[in-house]
Amino acid sequence: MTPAAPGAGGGPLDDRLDLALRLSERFGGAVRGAEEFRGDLAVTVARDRLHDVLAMLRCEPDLDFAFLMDVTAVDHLAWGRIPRFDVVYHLYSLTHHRRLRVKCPLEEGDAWVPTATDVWQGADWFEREAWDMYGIVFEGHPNLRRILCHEDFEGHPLRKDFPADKRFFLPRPANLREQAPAWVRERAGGPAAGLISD
Amino acid sequence: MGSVTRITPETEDTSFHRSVLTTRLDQLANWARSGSLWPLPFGTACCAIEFMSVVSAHYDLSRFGAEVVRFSPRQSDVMIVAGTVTDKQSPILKQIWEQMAEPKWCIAMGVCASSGGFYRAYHVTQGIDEVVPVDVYVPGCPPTPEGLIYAILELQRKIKGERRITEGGFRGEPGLAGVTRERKDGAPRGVDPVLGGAQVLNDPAALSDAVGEDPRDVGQGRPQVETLSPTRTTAPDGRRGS
Repeated sequence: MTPAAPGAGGGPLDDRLDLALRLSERFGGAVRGAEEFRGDLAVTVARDRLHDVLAMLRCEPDLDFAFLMDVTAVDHLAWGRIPRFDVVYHLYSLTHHRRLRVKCPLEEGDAWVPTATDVWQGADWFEREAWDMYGIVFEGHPNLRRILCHEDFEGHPLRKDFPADKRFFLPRPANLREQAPAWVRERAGGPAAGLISD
Repeated sequence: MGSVTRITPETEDTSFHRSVLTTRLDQLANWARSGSLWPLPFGTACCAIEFMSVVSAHYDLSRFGAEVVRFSPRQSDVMIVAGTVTDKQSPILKQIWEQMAEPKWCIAMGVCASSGGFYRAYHVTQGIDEVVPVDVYVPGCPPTPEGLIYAILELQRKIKGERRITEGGFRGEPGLAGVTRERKDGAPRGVDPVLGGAQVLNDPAALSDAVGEDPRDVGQGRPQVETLSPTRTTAPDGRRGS
């Protein structure tokens, strides 16, 4: 028998309130707020405790958010909101069937968060994408390179002040092997060496 | 046994005509080339699904001699670019095109390959004619199988008008069709690719653009036609490209 899981999404409202309160008690003012949207809880966390919050959500057995579904960002430029960016983590607990969204607001000139790759390995490519598209820096990421745009691309195209049809020309096919960092090339053998970055 | 045919001037003349065919070398080569186009599918999106249906039994592209799909550029004659090509992908497209042996042709299948389609965005090549020369554009999103078959037929018609053997005329040589549009950084639109693409097969006047009368015909007593060139800034119906 697993104890009644305080979690988010799908369960009784009490569960979600419990989780919000628990995070709030544990991390104090670093948990800036909590909101519910269509049955899912979203908590807003300050950057200085973000990594601790994520690690707790992942590691405590009665939470066990083992599945990092997505890491992305939101640019609130059009609304003129300050701080301009949110980094958003979508979590899912496979054991308790709960969902949770964690948001971390970031100022435009100071858009960085600690990496979550040490909590979930799967954060690697999500964070590279958020860097590529929004220019969010993930401190401590082992390989923070562009993942979708090519290497000659300048800027971050999903920022709302990026011209929608601005393009950059790539004169020759990208050499993925060359672009991979040394530790990737060493770990990966074979012809696909440049493609692997686990 | 059998009867002895008396050789008269009439019978001699007839047998001679039955055994000798006179033609132009170009026409002979063009006949062979147009009837045995081996396509190389460069499929990146849903257009490639339509392409599969074109080469499958129901539409049966083999009726037109173009069913031997090759996945090596070394062995193929016509590259069919079926789908969206991004700026990251376009140098790969160019490399594969350059690996194909002459004579070679290119069909831009669908609006993405022709003009970028609705991806007027930071990541999509606004028409593959920025990097490779295109012979026929096929409108549609995706085009119907009949649309691609029509493009093959138009390409065959174009090939039958070529004079590559007697006058040279591979694409590397100057003064020939097969130029790509000049591209700059930003959003280059020398020819409005939407009009240049979608209109080509719909407008009879513009058809000669795609089917490509030889530009060397200009001023040699043949009807003068507008040819696709990087300097053209007005679409066939007079609308300006943006």
